[in-house]
Amino acid sequence: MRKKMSMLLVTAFVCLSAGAVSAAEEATGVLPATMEKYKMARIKVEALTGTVVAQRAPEIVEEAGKSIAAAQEGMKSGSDKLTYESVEKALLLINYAQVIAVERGAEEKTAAAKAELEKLEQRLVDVLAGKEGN
Amino acid sequence: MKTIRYVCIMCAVCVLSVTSSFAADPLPDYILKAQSLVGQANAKSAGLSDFSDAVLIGQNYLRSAETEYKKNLSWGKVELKAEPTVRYYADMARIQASIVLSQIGKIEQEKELLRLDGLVNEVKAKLKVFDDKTAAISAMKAELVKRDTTIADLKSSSAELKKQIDAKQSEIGRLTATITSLTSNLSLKATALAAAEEKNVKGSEEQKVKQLTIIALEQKIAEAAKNLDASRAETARLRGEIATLAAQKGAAESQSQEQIQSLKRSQEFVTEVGKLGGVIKTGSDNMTVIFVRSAIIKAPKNDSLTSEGDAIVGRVTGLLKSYPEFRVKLKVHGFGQPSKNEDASATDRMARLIREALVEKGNLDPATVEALGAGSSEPIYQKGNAEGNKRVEITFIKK
Repeated sequence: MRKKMSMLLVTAFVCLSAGAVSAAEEATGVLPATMEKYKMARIKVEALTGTVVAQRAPEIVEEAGKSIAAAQEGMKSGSDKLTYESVEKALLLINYAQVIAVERGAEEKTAAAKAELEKLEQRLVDVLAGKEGN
Repeated sequence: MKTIRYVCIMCAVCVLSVTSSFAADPLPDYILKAQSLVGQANAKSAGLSDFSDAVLIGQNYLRSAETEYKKNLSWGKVELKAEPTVRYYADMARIQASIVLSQIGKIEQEKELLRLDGLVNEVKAKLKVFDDKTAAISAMKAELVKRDTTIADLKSSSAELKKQIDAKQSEIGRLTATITSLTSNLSLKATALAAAEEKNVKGSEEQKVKQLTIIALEQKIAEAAKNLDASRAETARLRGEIATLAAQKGAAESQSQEQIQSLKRSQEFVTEVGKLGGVIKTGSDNMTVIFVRSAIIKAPKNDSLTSEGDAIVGRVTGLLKSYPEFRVKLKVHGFGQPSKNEDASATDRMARLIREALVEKGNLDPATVEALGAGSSEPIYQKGNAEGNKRVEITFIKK
């Protein structure tokens, strides 16, 4: 009976400690590491302004900007979790913007090559039909 | 008692229907979208080991979103407090999957660009053949215009010479008339002199004057005769010049016609070679058509021709019959591995196979077709594209 009681007490203590740690984290606000990460992400998003990436993937850069704004909200409300998640999302969106900008650049090149090929093929057809070069 | 049992059954039915309706509630849109994109990324990256880690990250985010969603599901809806976390994981899964899809899309675009660049170069090479021939024709046309101008000049000179001849002939006529008149006059004077001598009327002084007059007349006649001879010689010379000019004009016209005919035939031949397909490469006195080897010779045994190969052989024999001034040189190239010697003998066998087909089907003189296996000694691509080196080159050379 005493053993059972002591087990219950230990369990209750662990639960209370976890709650206390969580509450303490909430109260102390955003962790310094998260703050650093936020600053880095903000600089990266700002650096995209006027670049080819911003020209080719404006909607993704805009979404990254919104995530940075959400991170600011998280910092104001003192939520490390919200700040961290928003910064992570912003960083992934920056990566996505860079990748999609490269893909769209490749698409433009392919379209240009296709147009050139069609033009050359039309000229070849004209030449073979005797419309040119006589 | 029956009523109580009925009420209990109805309650149980209601509870079951409510529970099943909650269980059947569809997932929120943002999770469904993430699931769809992760599924696409997984399917598209199959066989591409470079993307396996990135896809795994996306799947982990999605799994976290689904777990959080199920864990915090209450009465068919996710708890308000847990929703940002679920949404965060779903968003991260969606973005991660989009990155993978975008990277795969970029690779596909690059492959397409490479293919299009190859086609562009192929068509440019074909067009260059025609451009070169067009330039040659323009040069010939300019030469013809120049020759036409020369012929017109010769015609003009000829007309001028004819005028001069007419003038000389008219002068000859005039001189002939003068000679006739002088001869007649001389004859009259001689008659008169003879009569005078007969009559012995005049003295020696008068006779001398008459003799001098006769001498002067004879001199004039001799001079006129000399002028006449000179005019005749000049006329003969001018006629000779006209004949030479006419011969030159005829030769120039005949040469131009021959060159035009030769150029037209050459242009027709280039057009026919262009219709064979393949990539065309032109040299100073030959034309080479390059085919992918598998289009002509059946792989992997390489001991017989494909149906397309048969058709190409038929077209080449047709060309050689229509243009007997050409002969062909075949060259079969290997892919470069495992060793140079092996490839040289293998490609030699393939070259002989095509040569036999050409000679037999076209009933051609064997000396018209030369065949050679080049092995891997003349690659056009780097090692990374060794397969691209497998090709058959058919070169048309003027005999």
